[in-house]
Amino acid sequence: MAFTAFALMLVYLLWVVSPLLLPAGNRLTAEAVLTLRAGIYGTMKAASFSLIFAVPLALMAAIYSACFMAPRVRCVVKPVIEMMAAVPTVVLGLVAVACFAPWLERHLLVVVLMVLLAPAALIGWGWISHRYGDRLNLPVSTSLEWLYALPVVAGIFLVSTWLNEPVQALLFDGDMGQWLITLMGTNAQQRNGLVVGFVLGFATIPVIFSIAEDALHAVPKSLSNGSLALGATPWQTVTKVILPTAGSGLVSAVMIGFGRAVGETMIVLMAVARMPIMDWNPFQGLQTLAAEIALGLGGSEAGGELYRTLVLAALLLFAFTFVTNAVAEVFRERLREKYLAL
Amino acid sequence: MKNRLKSGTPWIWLNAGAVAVCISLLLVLIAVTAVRGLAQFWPAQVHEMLYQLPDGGAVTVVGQILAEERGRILLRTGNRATSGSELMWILEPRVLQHTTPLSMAVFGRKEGGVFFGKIIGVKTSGDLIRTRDVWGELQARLRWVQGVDPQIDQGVDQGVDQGDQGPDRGSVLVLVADGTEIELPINSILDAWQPNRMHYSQRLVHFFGQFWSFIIDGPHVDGVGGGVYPAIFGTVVMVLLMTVFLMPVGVAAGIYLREYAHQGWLARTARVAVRSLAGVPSIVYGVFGLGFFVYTLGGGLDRLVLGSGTFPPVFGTGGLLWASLTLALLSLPVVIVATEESLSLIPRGIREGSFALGATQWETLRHMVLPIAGPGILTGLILAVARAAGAVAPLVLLGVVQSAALLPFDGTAPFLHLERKFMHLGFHVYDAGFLSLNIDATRAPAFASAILLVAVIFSLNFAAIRLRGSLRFKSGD
Amino acid sequence: MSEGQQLKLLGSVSSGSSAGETALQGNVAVSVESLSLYYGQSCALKNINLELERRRVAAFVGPSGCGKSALLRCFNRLNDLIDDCRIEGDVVIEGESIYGSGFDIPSLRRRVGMVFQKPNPFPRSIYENVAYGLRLQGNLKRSELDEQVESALCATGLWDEVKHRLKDSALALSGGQQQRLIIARAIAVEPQILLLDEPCSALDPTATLKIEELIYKLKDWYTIVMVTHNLRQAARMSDTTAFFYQGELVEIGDTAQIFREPGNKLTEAYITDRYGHFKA
Repeated sequence: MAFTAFALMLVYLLWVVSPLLLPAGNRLTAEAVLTLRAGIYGTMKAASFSLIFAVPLALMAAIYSACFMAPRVRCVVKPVIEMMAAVPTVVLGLVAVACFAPWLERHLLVVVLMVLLAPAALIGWGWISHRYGDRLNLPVSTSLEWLYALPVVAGIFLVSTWLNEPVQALLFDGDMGQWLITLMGTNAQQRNGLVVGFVLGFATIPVIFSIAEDALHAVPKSLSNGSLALGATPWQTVTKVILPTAGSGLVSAVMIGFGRAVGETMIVLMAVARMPIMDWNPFQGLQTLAAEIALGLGGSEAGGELYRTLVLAALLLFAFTFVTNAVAEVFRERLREKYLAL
Repeated sequence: MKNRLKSGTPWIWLNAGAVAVCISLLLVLIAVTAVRGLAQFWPAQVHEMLYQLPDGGAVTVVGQILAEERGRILLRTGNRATSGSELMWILEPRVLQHTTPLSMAVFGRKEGGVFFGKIIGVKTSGDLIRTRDVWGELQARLRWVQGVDPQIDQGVDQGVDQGDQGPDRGSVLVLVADGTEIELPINSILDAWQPNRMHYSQRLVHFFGQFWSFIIDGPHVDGVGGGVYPAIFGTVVMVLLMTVFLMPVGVAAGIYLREYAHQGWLARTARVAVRSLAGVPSIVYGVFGLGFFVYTLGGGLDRLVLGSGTFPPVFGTGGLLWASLTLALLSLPVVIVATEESLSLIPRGIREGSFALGATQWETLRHMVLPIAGPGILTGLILAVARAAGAVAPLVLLGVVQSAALLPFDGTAPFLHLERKFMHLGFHVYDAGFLSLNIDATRAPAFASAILLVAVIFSLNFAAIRLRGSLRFKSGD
Repeated sequence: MSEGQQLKLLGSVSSGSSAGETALQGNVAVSVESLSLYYGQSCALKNINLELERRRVAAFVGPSGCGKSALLRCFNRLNDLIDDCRIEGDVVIEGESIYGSGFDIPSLRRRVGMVFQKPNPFPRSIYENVAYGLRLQGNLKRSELDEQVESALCATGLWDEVKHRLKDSALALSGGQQQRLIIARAIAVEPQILLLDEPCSALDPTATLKIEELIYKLKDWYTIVMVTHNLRQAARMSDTTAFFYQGELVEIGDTAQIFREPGNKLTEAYITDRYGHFKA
């Protein structure tokens, strides 16, 4: 038993990088270089779009779950949100291509309105319930009061959907997407960077949420109690004490989320039109390393030009995600030690 | 107002909203998948419409309404062999007449998808059978075809054997939308029902019957429609095989790392490395599986056993064995990390108590540590299995096909055929929902597969959560 | 403390033990010989020499971090579990050097039972907790097992309290009961020596009293070594007291002697509760 497992692990690591040992050929052709460059560009584009969507949502949800939720409610809500990670990505890809992409084409404005109106409405609701909560006699216990956010969000969604057509007709000649595209002077795809950003974001949210929530929840209670005892409000305690303490945990959560978005294959394969272009236009298609591998490797001749290019792409992916994750893990380890010392 | 904002209570609501949005997103996703996946099994009413063409003429169209929006109706017209396409958009203002005739029947066929039409009569050996109850006659003959009810007079119908269609059981004469009569051989019909006549309870029974046959039947000959049984079977066999490879290695490595290894920098590095490997994308494992398992090991095995230049390759191509090995590798870090973590949760005092009574390291591990950590390890294993069951990206590279002629497990020795290609539920979602050339017809089954897959994986996760919950309860603090 | 003082102090300790050696010939249970203990670079115990007699209670006292628990854990080699722990010197238990090469550690631990500061019952039934050590020793018949479990529980006075719920989880017991269960678990395998590491520090006064009565009863059969923070407890319970300070054995001797007229200023300061003054 003594060294079996370690040897196993070493062998395992070597195994994973073993394609590197394949004859690498002399030089990559111009075509291969283009595939790789467009792939890297597209990968970064898709991953960045997904993070723009996922990071705020995941972190805010993590803050609420870790710092404000009653323990018994948290026991239910946390696994539910983590369940998002259990949805197979091929299903997300299917929903993206069959439902979400056609919907988004005509309801872009709904999303924009949601982003603008929902935070305002929530803060407004927060203010109202804070100010008049006693007089409203809300019929829910305090541990479930966050459920009021559901109808607020749903209401804003309905309002946005209802406003969709009139506002588009009024401001954007009837079609906001078309209007934007004309403004930007490009052609567009139904399955574009925006779609992949949202759907990839859906897959990234639970990863970021879970790690960030753990980091926030593990902040010793003595710290937050100390802050509350000094007369700070709960929100001040979160922003001034808990967030700075768990900061590196949040950073590592985002890094691990980014790693996941970079390597995601099925969503990108299905949700976005494959285009070897390099720009940041959200209405254009893109191509990523992972999707190129999935499409090309099976059909390519072993040891051939395309095969080598794609194995190189896989190695790039491996190196990037491994290093990102390793750095994030070291951050988390440090944070754990810090908590133990507190 | 400014003070309130400063106190921050309203900001808390912003965070609560984020929780609400995340939960809603998940619910919407599941709802959309379920509705799109399950609606096809519901015996919806069949409408007959008189439709005005742009040139002024009018045609009769027959079909089920799939969607209505902005004055347009999406109609599922079926009858693919005659009309070419399954689906059709029509403009609502142009519908002149709209009825739901009771006699309208729906036929599930072995090939060519569903068929809509009114039954005129049943024919055997070219003659129309004179009976008042045409529908009853049809049902009896369908049962007969399925071998359920061999009561019908066989003397009359001892027809010519039509190859794999079996002996002729007669045919049914159907009036379709454009007024022509079409003869459907009863052998080609799987099921027939008259949705416009059905009660709600009958519809419910029909719905579950259709859903069940989707689960237990194989795909139809033309690849469109039918069930996904082989895909479910393939998924299960692959996952089981993977668990066999995964469990001993993963648990042993986790135990070693936590219990036996010297906890120095080497162990710490190994721990970070394993955790990082858990984040490496599945497609990378797929590339490794193809490059190492299939081409190197498999190709080598072929050359060794069968001599060089074997064609077609046996092990040198993607198959069940390589796919499950690759997925085992992919899940290994998850299991190692879970094993390690559940071992590290055991209080030091329990280990010391056992050692103080003279137990050796192995005895402590076997009698004390493993029984306590067991449920935690099992939880990790279930989560890893759930993750692997949903991983499709590596399978795109490794030996999964849209339609496999043979199941990987059968009655002929050696029973488990490791080298065979197989079908997979997740890959079916990808193939039927995205790659298929006849996307209109295959997207609904893709959604049905998707909701099945989601159901399986969610049950696994739910089991893991329950197990973890009971664990927390038992340890007492 | 100056170097000269230290040497003199150690000299007095060893001379004291050698004087008693003739009288106690053949009655030594534990003998520690120039033992030093290191955790990585830091030295936790410095050159300890002492002898403990059979069937008597020895108390190790001293301020936190003085190394008394570490020494206790040397007696059953539980320090081996800590990764970068290194030991010089030797401990001889019942005439056998336990740090010799090829020494059978599990058999040592069966002979030297231990009770911990915080009760650490296994998450099993009460019965299984006591039977665990017995089962490790080999295949006992069910009836023999039952008998030994009962006698161990009787010896600790727990039998009447738990005899109707032997199958219940041990975690459901109160702290004091748990600690007596741990003692029952330890004596069930019939050790020669019983090590108690602050056995009462996590308990309330009533439970403490029960444990103390139990220890008093048990010393007729076992050599008992206990670490305690409670000086009154040491004075009440023990026959021999050893005072440790910063990894060194300052003084060891008859308990009455030590508490009446300590031979060392450090000991005096500590037992008269002027430790804080002394340190300043």
